[in-house]
Amino acid sequence: MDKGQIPDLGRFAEPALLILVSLTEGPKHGYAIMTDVEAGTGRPMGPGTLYAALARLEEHGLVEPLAPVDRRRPYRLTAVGASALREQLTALSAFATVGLQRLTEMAG
Amino acid sequence: MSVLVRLYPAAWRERYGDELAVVLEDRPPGPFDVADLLLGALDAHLYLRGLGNRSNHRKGIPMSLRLAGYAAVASGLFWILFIALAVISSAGDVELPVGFLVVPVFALALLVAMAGLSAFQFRDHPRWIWLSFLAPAAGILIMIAGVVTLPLGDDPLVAGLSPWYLGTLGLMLTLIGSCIFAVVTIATGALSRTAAAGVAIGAPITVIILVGLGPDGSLLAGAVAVAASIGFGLGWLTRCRK
Repeated sequence: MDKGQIPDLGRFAEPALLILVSLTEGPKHGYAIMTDVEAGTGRPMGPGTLYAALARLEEHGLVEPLAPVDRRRPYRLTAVGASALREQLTALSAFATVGLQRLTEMAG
Repeated sequence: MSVLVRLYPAAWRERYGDELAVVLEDRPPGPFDVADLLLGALDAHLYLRGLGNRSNHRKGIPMSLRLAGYAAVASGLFWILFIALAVISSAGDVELPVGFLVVPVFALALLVAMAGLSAFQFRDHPRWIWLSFLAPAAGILIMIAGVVTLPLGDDPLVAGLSPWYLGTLGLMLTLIGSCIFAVVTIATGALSRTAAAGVAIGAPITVIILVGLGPDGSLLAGAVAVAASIGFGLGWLTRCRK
């Protein structure tokens, strides 16, 4: 993995990104992440997808588990995760800007 | 621990099993979640063997939703294919047994579609969603039993029903489940309104004609059945545009 980049997580790339964004608000456990992502995107995130993505994020050191509270284990963004997320969102933002610009030109 | 959690590999369960079980307590799984967990368990087995995830292809939407979208389109196409074969068969007075074999494939695709598309409806209408899912699930089993035993002829097989009637009963259950799903969907928006209306109106009309309550054996009956069925098929096809 290049420094500051989210590794290629294949089909879990998008769920992983959504989880990282959700955790920018602070540590959250699995259910809270799911509801936050669903509220933010309007799309469901199943528990199978959530934990497949979480396991990969944890393996790559982008999130870390905290001590469980009432059997619910919260996760938080690591410094590496925050940096990788910033990099990814900046790239996406630049890409979106170009796309919107082209759409404006096309309409004009 | 939930049966669904037990499907995961032991090493995975040791690390994540408890918290996943708690998530399932907080949010009892609907058909979408069950499908998602089945795929998740499969992924965990592959991943722990070094076979999963390493692929380079990026897929934007979670697997369960993608499968549901494809399955909805496939079910619409297979249904319309079935209707076309039935019309050709009846107009030309020829036997096209492949037409009836298309129906179980349609029903299986429909089941996958409904599982995937049920995620948000399930939160608000858990009983209706499970009912709309289990009706076609039972229908498929009955239908397959009917199709497999078709070569046995017209003698009653189970509960006085011949294989042909078993197949038809299975088909009706599938259509009824679709109708329930579409009606619930109108409130929650998983299908577009056009799609939901096509399915919700087309399915019951098709069932009514199948059970012989509609106009009897006339050209009108055939035309209404075909129109309703095409509306039903197009309803699922429209889903792909959303």
